[in-house]
Amino acid sequence: MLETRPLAPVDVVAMPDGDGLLPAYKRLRAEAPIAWVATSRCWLLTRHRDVMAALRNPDFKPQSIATTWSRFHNRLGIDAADILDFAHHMPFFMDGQRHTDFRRCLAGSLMNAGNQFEQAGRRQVDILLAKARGNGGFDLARDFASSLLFNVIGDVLGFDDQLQAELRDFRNLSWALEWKLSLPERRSAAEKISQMHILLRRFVHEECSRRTNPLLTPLLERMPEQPNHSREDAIARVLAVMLVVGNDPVAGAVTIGVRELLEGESSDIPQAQWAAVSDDVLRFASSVDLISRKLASDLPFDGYQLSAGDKVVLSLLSANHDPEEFGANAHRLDLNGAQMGLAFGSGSHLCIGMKTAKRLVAHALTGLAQLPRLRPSGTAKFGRGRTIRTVSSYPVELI
Amino acid sequence: MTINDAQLVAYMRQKIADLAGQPADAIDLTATLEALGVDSADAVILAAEAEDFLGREIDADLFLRCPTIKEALDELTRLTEPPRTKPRADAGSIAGSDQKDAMEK
Repeated sequence: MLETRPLAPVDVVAMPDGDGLLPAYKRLRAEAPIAWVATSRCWLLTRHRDVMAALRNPDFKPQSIATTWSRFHNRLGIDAADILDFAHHMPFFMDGQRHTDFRRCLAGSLMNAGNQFEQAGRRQVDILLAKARGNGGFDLARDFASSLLFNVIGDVLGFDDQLQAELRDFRNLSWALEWKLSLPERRSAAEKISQMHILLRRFVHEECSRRTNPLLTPLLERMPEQPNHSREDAIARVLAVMLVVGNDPVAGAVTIGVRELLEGESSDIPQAQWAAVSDDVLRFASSVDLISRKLASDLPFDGYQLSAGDKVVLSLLSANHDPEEFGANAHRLDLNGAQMGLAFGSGSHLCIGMKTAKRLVAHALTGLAQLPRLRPSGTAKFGRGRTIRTVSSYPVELI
Repeated sequence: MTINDAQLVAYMRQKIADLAGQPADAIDLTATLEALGVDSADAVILAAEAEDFLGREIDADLFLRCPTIKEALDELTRLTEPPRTKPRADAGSIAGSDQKDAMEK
């Protein structure tokens, strides 16, 4: 057993998103696949087999953003009550029986509304692309991808135009989950989560009384009882989670995937066949990258001794580009390699929205494939998130 | 109010002491936060407290990047130095400013 922690040769946790990430991960997989990142005081796993093993091992406990936020609340007087409550309703961070009950509730409700999501997905892709078609060009990230799941959720739930417009400001909020936020950014994140909750809470209250909503009604019937929360309150929180944690990953996957199809090695895939690689787009883009775990007990792991309490960060992006798992074409999209890899995680915390997201990405690529030929007309601007990867802008034109 | 180095160091020493559960004058500045039992989440808090005190943005990972408390404080005091009064004649655009990611609104 090795005694010393192997230091990461490159601090990929602090690195901004962009084209430098994949080479950095390649280097880590080769030189230090289980590495200690001193600046973040965490282990970093980058190989597929290690990330998969960690995701499936219950000793690697999810680490909630509430840990840091509660300290900001207590020590710096930021009113983080709503964001703490939001974190409390993220299945991402739950454990034990509560996690099981929540998953059952959400999965069952999403399945109940499956047809509505399917139809809304097709409809919203058509609506968003009709505008793009009319203009001869558009910003794929800003005008299309970043509104996709948000519009679909609004469509299924029946948001009126006013609510849709009011919630639009909150559709790309996943940056609020990042740990590296300045104080003004933290205050802004807390405020936005609060504002979003007020809007959703009002909507849920009005809709639940009608008992005809394809998603809210099953949620209301299935939502487990919780101390200090009404069912309606809990549902409003869950909707916020869906919007914050769902919209940006779908947007990131579509934009990063299309960028690769237009500019990368995968540009040899004809536009007409883009829909055939929709699953591989999810793997390639891995728009959920760094996820944190905390070790519940001392654990020997692949030759190293990890200690109870150690923070372990898993890179889904690196795992999904590991040639040991995905072969020689791991670094590109592959018409013959349609699989999602660990895009939605694995094990007991496998993404509940996986089927919805997968189908929506497929609809998006189908719609894009049917447009006149696309080409980039500007450069992609990556967002700041490393937990959830986003692209804030990617102009393209129709030729 | 202009904050001098001594005030900043005293303030941060107290904040570290609060987190470590020790008296301020017992805090060894050559130690690491880890050695004092201050975890990474609290290191982020410390950066935010420095930000609040100084009234300017501080990198959230400052106390994680710097190996010892002293090095982190040295970096903080460098940030409070007055700017140059005369720009260099050959100064170009700030590298990366057109690539700086804006926070999503």
